[in-house]
Amino acid sequence: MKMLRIISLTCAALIAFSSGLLAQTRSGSQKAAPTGDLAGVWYPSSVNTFNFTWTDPQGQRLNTLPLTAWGQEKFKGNHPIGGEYTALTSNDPNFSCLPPGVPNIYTHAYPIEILQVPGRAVMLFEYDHYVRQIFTDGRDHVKDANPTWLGDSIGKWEGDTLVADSTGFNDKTWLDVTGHPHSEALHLVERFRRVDHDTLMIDITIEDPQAYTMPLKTQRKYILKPDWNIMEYICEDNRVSFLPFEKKVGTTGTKAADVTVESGTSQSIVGDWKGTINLADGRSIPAAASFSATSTGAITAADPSASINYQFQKVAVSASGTITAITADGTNLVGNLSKDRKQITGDIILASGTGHKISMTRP
Amino acid sequence: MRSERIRRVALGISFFLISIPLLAHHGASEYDMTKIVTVHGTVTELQFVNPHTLLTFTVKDDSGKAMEWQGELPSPNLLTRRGWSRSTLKPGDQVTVIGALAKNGEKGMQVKKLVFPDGHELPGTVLPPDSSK
Repeated sequence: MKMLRIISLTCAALIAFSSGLLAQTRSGSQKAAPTGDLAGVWYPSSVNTFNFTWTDPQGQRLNTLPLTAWGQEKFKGNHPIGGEYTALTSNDPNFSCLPPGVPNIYTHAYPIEILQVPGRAVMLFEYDHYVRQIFTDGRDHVKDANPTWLGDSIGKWEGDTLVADSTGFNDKTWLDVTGHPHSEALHLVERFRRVDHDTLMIDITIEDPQAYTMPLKTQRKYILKPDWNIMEYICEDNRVSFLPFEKKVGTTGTKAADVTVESGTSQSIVGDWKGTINLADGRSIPAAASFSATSTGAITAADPSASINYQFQKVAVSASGTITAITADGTNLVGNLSKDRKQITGDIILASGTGHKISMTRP
Repeated sequence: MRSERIRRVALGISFFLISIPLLAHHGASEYDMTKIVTVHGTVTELQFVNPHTLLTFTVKDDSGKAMEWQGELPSPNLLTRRGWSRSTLKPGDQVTVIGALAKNGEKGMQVKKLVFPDGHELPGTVLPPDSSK
């Protein structure tokens, strides 16, 4: 019965979604956030890091997660990409097009549409079209639920916050992209809140005493996209056509490339530049840049609201005007020098994953 | 014939020690982010299919011999929201491709940026400009 109901509700949601009946149209960041309304298409903010940044219950950042012995054993068997593993050799369930589960699905760079109908909030994930329902009609969790990929979610409103409580997960998904495990005992609490009209914060707490010795917390930020629709995305689509390429570039080998890679120099941008830096949080402030002939440089901004100071090394400009540089702590500059050599535009990509945009001209 | 050849373009050494946020569903491990190259090619095919777009193009070396290269791009959904469509690149189009080389030396790359003959540019695997808040 439960399954039948879920399937029928899923179909109803998908039909409504595909016919565009529930498309949201809002605009204007100045508007107050509506209370009790999460409906809309939400896209991950660029302040989100690639993987979750986990903290303890007090908010202290955890560089190593407090795994139990069971958790450590499972973690050892998980091989995320990076290091010696590629998409071909990693055993990340995502690469088999299996569902990422919750909360791992929030690490994917795809929008989520939230529909609110009486008695439930429905999340339509663009990434592989998963549909998740959070029942807000006062019911309890399903008793002795058969474990599922997305779990069993019930929710209640606490003021302007939807608190979703989820259990009933299977243990086939990873908690995050670095392969941290979880068990079927996973208990997930998500607090969804619009901090302003256009910004949705999801505060995530997980408890899994079989895998971790303490609860873990993390956070995701989403931005309202009033003009967007969820698009089709089928993970299996490209398994046929993309696999040969994956095999070509994903296998180990060290033969010399068929293209010569040479170091560029900073010569064409030596000197002082002035312009603006558009910060990841949306602010735009005056900034200055300076580059030396010895491939070093700096981008700085002195503003009451932000202090910016990036000291770059290995500054290089290609013949076609591509500028690359890096700081000691791994912040990248990837930019472009205009043909007349009078303007620099580009991105500063921080180690945290945040990006700022720069636009500079010769003073 | 066309004069496109691999140009030995001096390019910056750039260390992407961290994963590009939210874009590297996979792929970051296959490419050497310190080897970003620019090649000039002729498009033979654009597979505009989820989850990853694949660009196939030919590049001529100094001796005029044509070589087939391929470049990986983000999903069509992400590219569409950045102004791409399936006919953005058509067979025969001339394009300059900037990307990170495959570690294993094969003719494959993760495309960072495309530059068209008129100077128009399209971003590939770079930060999503539509979420900078």
